[in-house]
Amino acid sequence: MSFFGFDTTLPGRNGPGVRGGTNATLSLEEQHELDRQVQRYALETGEDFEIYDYGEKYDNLADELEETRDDLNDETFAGTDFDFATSTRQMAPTLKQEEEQYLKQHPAAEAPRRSSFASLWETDQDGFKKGLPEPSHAASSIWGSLGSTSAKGVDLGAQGFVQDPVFGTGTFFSGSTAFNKAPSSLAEIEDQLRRTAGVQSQGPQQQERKMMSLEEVEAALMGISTARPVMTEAQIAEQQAQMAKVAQRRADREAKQTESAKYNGLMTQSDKDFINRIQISQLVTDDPYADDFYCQVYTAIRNRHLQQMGLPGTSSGGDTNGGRRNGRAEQRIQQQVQRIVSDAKRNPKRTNVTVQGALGKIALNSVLNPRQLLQVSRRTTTESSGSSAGSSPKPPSPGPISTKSHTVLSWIENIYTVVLALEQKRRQQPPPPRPGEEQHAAEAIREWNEEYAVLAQKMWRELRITVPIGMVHPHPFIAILNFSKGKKVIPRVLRHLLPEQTLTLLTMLVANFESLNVCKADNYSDAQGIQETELFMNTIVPPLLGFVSETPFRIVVGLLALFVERNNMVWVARSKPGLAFLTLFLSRAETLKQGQGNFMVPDEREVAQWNELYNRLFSQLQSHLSSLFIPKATVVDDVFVWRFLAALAVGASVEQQHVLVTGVREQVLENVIAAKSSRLTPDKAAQRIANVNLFLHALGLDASQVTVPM
Amino acid sequence: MEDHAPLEGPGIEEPLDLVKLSLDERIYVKLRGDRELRGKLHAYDGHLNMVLGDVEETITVVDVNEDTMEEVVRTVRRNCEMLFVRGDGVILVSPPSRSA
Repeated sequence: MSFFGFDTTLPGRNGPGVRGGTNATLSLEEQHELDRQVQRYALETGEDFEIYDYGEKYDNLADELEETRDDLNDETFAGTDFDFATSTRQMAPTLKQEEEQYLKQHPAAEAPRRSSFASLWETDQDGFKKGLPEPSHAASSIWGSLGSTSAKGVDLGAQGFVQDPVFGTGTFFSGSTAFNKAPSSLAEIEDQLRRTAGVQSQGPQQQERKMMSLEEVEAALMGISTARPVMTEAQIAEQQAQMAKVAQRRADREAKQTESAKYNGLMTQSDKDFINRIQISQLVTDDPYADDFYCQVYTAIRNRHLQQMGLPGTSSGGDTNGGRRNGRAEQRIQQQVQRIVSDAKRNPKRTNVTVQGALGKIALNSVLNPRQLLQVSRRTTTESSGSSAGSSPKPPSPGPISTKSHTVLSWIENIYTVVLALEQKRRQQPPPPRPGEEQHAAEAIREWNEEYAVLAQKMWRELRITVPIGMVHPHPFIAILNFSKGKKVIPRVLRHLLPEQTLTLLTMLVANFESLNVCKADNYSDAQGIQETELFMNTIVPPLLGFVSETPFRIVVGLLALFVERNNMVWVARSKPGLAFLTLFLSRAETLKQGQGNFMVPDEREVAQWNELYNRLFSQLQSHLSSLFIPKATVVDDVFVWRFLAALAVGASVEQQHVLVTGVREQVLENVIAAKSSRLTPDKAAQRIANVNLFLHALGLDASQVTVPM
Repeated sequence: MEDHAPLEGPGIEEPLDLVKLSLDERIYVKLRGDRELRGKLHAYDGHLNMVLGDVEETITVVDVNEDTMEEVVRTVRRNCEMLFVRGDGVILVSPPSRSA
C-alpha cells in the first residue's frame, strides 16, 4: 500500500538505509483527519463509499487472478491454521516491539508513525478490536489515504504476489530488466513505477496521489514489462468485454455463494442424518403391504419380469429384507427410522413432537395421517365383539330391511378392512420354533392363533351369510356379491374360512342364486353385464369348484337339491354362472357315483335320492334345452352350454338321452354345417366341432357321424 | 349369539367414509377450472387426491368472440385409461347421476 503513502517496509527485514519512500508518507495526523472527513461525509450522505469506489474505477484486474481450482479450500483452511486475524492480533505486541527497536536504530524514521502492519491494528478508531468491524469504516481506516481509488486490485498487486496470466505467478517485478538491484522496499518500487510512467515523483502530495488511478498503475506496469506482447485496441477491447462478462458472472456466483456461505457448516453430519431420519420416518411404514400395497405388488411383478429376463430384481424400499441392496449406513438409518416410527406410534394422539434442542416442532403428519382440519366427533362404536349381542338381539324388522346401496357398500368396505387385517396377520405368522426356543415360540404361536381367530370370526360376521333367508331381499350376502368389488373379495375371503364356513357360504349362494345380478336375462346385451358375469366366473366359480371337488356325495346331493328347490331352473340355467354350477354338481356327482378318488361309493339310498333329483331337474329343463344357448353367442360362450349338456347326458337314461338329442339337434347341425362350410377359419371350425363333440362323446357319438343335409 | 354383524350399523362416521364407499365404483368428480370427470375410483387419500380409471374428462370452454363479444360455450371431451387427480382441485365427488 505504499503507493498511497504509508510505508509498508517490513520491520526487521529491510537493510539499512533503504527507506527511500519514507518521504512519500502522510503524517499520522493527516491520515486521521482524512479518515474522519470521509466518515463524516459518509454519515451525512448515508452513502457507502466503498461501493462508489469500486463502481467506476474498478478495472477487473482482480479477474485475472486465478480463482478456480479452489475446490479444496475448505479442507485446506479448515481449522485455525489460517486464522490470520487472530494470529496477527497475537503477533501485534511482537511486531510493535520490533518496530520500536527499529525506530530506535533509525531515529530518522520516527515521523511516519504508521509504518508497520502492527500499527494497522493499533490505530483503528472504529472497532477492529471489537471483533466485527463495520466494513466501510474499517476499510477507510486501514487504507487511510486511499480516498477515491480502490483497494482490491492494488492491494494484491502491492504485495508483489499476483497470479497474472501474463506475468505468471510470483513477484512480477523480479523479472523486469528495469530493476537490476533487488527491490528493497515497496515504496522504492512505487517511486520507480512513477518515474517509468512519467509521473513526477518529487514532493508527493496528497492531490497527486489521488490522481494516480488504477489505469495509470496498469499503464505503468505495462510499461515496465517489456516481455508483454503488444495488443491491438480491438483485441484489448474484446478481451475487456470478455473479462467484464466473466466478472459479472463471477460476481453473481460469488454473491450467491456468500449469501449461503454464512450458513455453511452449521450442521454436522449427524445433524443432517437426524433430519433425514425424521423426514424419512414420514414415509416409512412398518406395514408395507397394507400401506404401500401398490408399490409392493408392482415390485413383485417387476421382479418377476426381470428374473424372466435373467436380471436380478430389486427389493422394494419398505421390504424388511431390503438391506440386500442398501449399504450398511442405510440399514442403520432404517433401524433408527423404525425406532422413530414406533415412538410415534406410542403417542398417536400427538401430531407433532418437540425434540429437545430442535428449532421448531416436527410434524408427525404423514400420508396416512394428514393434518386434521375437521373435528368430527366419533360415535362410539355400538359394535362390540359378541358379548352384548347375546343379551339383546335386535328383533328382526317387520318386512324387508331396505338394502340401500350405500349400506351394502359399507358392508363391503368392512369386509375389505377385516380381510386386509387378516392378510397382514398371515404375513406376521410367527416362524416355526427353533431348537431351544420351543416354549417361547409356542406362546407366540398360540397368541397369533387367537388373534387370527378373532379376526376371522369378525370377517365371518361381516359377510352376513348367516342372516336368515327371507328377512331381507335380496339376501345381504347376495347383495354384497352384486357389487363387483364384492365379487372380487370372495377369493380372498375364502382363504380364511373354515371348511364348514365355506360350505355355509356355498349353501347360501346356491339357495339364493336366482337373485344374483349375473342371473339376469339381459346380461348378455350390455357390456357391464358381460363384465360382471366374467368377474363372477373368474372370482367365485374357481375356488368353489375346488371346494366342491372335495365334497362327499351326500353334500353334493344336498346342494343340488337346494339349488333345484329354491331357484327357477329354467331361469338360472340361462345364465352362464348358473350353468357352471349345475355342471359342477352334475359332474361331481357322476364322478363319485363311479367311485373315483378316495371317496366311498355312495350307497343305494343316496343314489336313489340323486336319481330322483336328476329326474326333477331334467324334467324342468327338457323343454327349454335350445333356449340355453345364448343368442349370437361367441364360440367361447357356447362351450359352457355344451359342457353342461355333456354333464347332463352322462347321467341320463336312454329316453332322456333321446330327449336331449332332439332338444339340441338344431344346434348340433348348425355347428357342424358351419364348421364344414368355408366361412370359418380352420381354428374356429375345429373349435365348433370340439364343442359339439363334448356333448356327443358323452352320448357315445361323434360329430363325424352327423350327416349334414346339403 | 347372532353370527352376523348388524344389518344396519354405524356405517358412515365422517365425510371421507362416503368416498370410501365409492371405491371401485364409478364416480363423478367436479373440478376447478370447469372440468368434470367420470371414472372408476381406484384410490384416494385424505387430501382427496385420487386415482381414477377409465375416465372421461369433460372440459367446458367459453370462447369469447373478440369482435362481437359473443360467448360460445363448448365442451371438450377426452378419455384416459388412468388418471391421477390432485386433491386441491376437487370441488365435488358423487356417485354418477342415474342418467349418465
